[in-house]
Amino acid sequence: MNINSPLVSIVDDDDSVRESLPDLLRELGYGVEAFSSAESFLASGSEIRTNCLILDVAMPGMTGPELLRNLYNKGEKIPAIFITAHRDENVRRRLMTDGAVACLYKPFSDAALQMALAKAIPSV
Amino acid sequence: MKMDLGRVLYALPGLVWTALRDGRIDFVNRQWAEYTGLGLDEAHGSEWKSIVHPDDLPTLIEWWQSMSETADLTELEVRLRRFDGVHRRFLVRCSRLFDDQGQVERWCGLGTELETLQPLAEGPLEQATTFQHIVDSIPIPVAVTSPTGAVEWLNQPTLDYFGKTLEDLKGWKASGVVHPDDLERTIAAQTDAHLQGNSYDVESRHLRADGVYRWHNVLGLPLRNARGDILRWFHLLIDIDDRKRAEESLRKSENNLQTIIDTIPALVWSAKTDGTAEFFNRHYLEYVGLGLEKVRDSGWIAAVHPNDVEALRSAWAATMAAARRGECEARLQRFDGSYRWFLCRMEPLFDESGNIVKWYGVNTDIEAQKRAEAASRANEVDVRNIIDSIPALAWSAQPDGWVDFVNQHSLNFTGLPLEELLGWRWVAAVHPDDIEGLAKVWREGIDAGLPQEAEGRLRRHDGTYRWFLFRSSSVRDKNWNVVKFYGFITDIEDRKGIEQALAASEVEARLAVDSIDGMICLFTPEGVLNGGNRRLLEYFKLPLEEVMKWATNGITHPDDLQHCSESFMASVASGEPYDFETRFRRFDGVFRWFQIRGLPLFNSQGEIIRWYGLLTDIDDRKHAEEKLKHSQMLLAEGQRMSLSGTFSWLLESDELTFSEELHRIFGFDAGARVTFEAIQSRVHREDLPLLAGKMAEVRSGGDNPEYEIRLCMPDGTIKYLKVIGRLIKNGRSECIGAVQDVTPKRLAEQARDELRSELAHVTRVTSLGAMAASIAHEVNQPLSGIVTNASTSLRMLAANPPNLEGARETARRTIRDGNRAADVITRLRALFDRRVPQVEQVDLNEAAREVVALCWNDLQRVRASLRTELAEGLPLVSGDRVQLQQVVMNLLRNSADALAGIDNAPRYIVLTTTVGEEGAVRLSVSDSGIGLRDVDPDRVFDAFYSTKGDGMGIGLSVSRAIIESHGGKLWAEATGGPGAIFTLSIPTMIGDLSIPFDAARPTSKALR
Repeated sequence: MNINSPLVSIVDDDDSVRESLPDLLRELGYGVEAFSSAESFLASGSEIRTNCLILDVAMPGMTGPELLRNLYNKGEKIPAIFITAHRDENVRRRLMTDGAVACLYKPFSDAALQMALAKAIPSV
Repeated sequence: MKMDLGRVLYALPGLVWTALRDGRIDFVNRQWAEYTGLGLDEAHGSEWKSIVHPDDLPTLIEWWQSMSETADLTELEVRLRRFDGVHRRFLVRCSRLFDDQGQVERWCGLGTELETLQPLAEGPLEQATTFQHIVDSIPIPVAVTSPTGAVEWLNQPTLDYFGKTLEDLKGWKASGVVHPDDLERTIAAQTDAHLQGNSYDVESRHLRADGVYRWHNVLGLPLRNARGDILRWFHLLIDIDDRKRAEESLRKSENNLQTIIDTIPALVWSAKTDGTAEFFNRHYLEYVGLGLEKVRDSGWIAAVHPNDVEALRSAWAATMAAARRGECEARLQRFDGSYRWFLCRMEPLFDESGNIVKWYGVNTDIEAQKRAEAASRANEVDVRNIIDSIPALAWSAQPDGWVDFVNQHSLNFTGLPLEELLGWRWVAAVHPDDIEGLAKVWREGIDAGLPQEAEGRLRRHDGTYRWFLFRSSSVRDKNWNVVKFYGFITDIEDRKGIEQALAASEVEARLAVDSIDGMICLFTPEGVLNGGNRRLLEYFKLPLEEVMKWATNGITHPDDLQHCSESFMASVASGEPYDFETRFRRFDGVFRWFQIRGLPLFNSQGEIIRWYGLLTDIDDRKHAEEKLKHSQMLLAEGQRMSLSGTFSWLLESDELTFSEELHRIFGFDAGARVTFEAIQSRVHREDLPLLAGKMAEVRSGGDNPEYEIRLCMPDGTIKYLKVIGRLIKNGRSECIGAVQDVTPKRLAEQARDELRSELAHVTRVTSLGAMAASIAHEVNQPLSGIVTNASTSLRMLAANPPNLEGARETARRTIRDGNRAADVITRLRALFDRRVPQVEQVDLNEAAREVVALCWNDLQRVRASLRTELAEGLPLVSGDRVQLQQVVMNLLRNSADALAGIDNAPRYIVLTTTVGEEGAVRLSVSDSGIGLRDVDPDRVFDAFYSTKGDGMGIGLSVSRAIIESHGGKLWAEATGGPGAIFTLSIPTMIGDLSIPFDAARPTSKALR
């Protein structure tokens, strides 16, 4: 793991996502941290190190969009990619307007993920 | 005579004039003046030329001049101007008038209007030609004779009347044209006139052509020349037959009158205004035995008795002077020399201006009365003695009531001299309280001339008053005139005493009164309570003196007091019986209602001497009435509050009665007569067949179980009514019913139902979406893991060197996530597969009834009338009761939906069960709805096929699947009429059928 690799933080309550997605991201060359809830992410202090967020929309407790607004309110403008199993264009449109880099419906391909990450972290 | 001739000329229907030789006119007749419109003054001289048409004037002057020069007399036609400027054609003839020397003195002209001229028979008469035309045009018969009387000429009306020729009539004296009875007189009059040279005037009957004699006034006029010689005679026959007839009938009626007067059984006469007698009837003449000439003027006096002549003369003179009716008595000598008394009456006859024109008299024989009078005078002394000895007060009075006699007993009783009792002075002896009553009765007796009876007190010589009965009777003469009154006054003091004793016996009566089941009051004529029975006193438990103060002491209910005292006092004042209701306080303070009836008791003078009052306790009745009133009010109020009314319908007479509230519900005026027309005008037109059907059910003897009907009010609002009718037969057939206005409830239900179905739809849609979403979410999570792991695994294998351990690990996770996804699907299936079909023995009839009960509301909402025709003894079928019921409900709902679009036609659904072929049970639902609309009946069972906008098509495909799983069939058919029929058939012989089916399977099967 390269210390200079950009850090992607995953926040999702689903075990299989937290299990499978970090492996893929590492294969793509990113540093990865995974959290099972928004609250645990905020508590970790990783926000200052994170270059890109991958957020589940619907989670118990604080939802993905709420976490993002929370960070914005604190002045932390981290690029965010939403992933959701609920295919709803209305939700997707609203998230994009609110500043999301991408919104991917599960299941999504590794190519779609790569494009979204390239958009979020242009330097790579 | 000259004047008469002038009249004839004037009356001639032609223009006649005479002119001097120089042409100046010096005479014109009336016709001339009227035609031309010129007066005589204007016509004189030469002014006449102006009336001749200018074109004709030269011809006229030339014609006249030619006649002056020759002896010929000719005619000329000229146009003469009428007063209004119109010219009319005239035939003008002229003849010469000669003077004594035979010289032409003047001309006489006659102008006959051609338009009216009758065709003329040419006559050979020379000079008379002039007159022929004139006379012919006179519309009455005219004869012209020579101075010797020979008939020379007759005008046309004469010939027409007699129907004879001139030749025939020349010998008229022998031809029978004059009535034989009149002939002599007529000839005499004519001969006389011819000899004397005077005109004559005779009335005679002349035989008309049809054989009828008619009366004529024959006027004969001589025509003279200037010297006075008679040239000829004119005879005019004027028809006076009608007048003659009138005269005849008048004479007959006069005869009749004469006969009547003669037969009057009295002596009738008349006299002139100066008093000289001019007429006596036959009776009179027969009585006196003298002829009219002997008695007329003043001859009648000879028949008057010498002693009465002066009295009669003076009475007669006085009557004439007074110019009014008068009479006197006198004796008249009969033909046999005897005298009889007569009442002679005379009366004037006035003309229109009030002057006396005649006197009429009637003398009536009063001999018999006179004899009676004399006889009674002769008896008087005896009678007086008898009367004086009668132990009663006797009196007599003149017809005007003036007492002219009282007997000795009267004098003895009153101790007054005779003169103190005569005339009206006897009144002084009457008790002051009785004077008015007695005087009244006595005066009525005098006026009516009838016997009277009254009671009163008379003062005895010692100053005490005693009661007497006054009785009077009248004596009349032959003419029914009262001659005298006689009276007896009988002492009834003793009887009065008995009456008082009777009053004492009232105490006994009181015992009877006391036992009467009611309260009795006695009042004075002034209305003061002065007696009451025991019950009265017991009721109040007050002494009479206290009850007397009923108006002030509070025993009368304060609310009734005014009405009570007013009614009572009004009766006391008028003497009319009273009857009213009021409340009186019982001794225990409770007020009870009483009906109070009072009657006055009169004495023989018609005065009220007492009032009787009967008080009947009507408290219970009153309470019952009030209770009734209250319950009626309760009912009305209850109906008003529950918006329900009641009605009664008498089937025989179709008489309808609505309760007050029902009037209000229907919007009828309170109290208005209710008719079926009025009801039909309110009922919604779509519901009129329903109403007719319900009425027919009642008429055929059935009840009307609850049904709903709509009213369409005049303002367009709709009312929903729930109606129940029950037929009651108690002598007559009457349908009693209740009607409830359920509009608010129905509207609320409709709103709720609409909301519910809308909600159901929304819920269905959203829950489907939610379910889809949740299925997607559940499946997408493991799919997402699979995809990601597979991608990672590929990347690890593709790395250099390949990360085999990592790839193996991710591949393992891929398998795990695949199993997770399969688990999700299994869970979902389990969710839908929860219900396990229950197989049991199902009674389709019972199952259907339950469904009908469940659907009732939906069916009511679309106002569908549901009829069930369930076969008896229907075999049971094996199956899932709930599934089968869902199918039935589905069919009913479809029918109800199909009816929703139907207006102006009956909406009905019929559910039928029958036993079909091979023991199969059939259930069909038919409706009068929109039907299948030319659609293949099988297509409606396709899933997702729907004829309805809200997409319920899935129901029918599921239903078919359910029925098929029961080994049965479900099919649709179009009915003969409107609507559709859906029938399901299920075999009954499959005892051990296991149902491999659930409601969700058809779709999932299709997806698999």
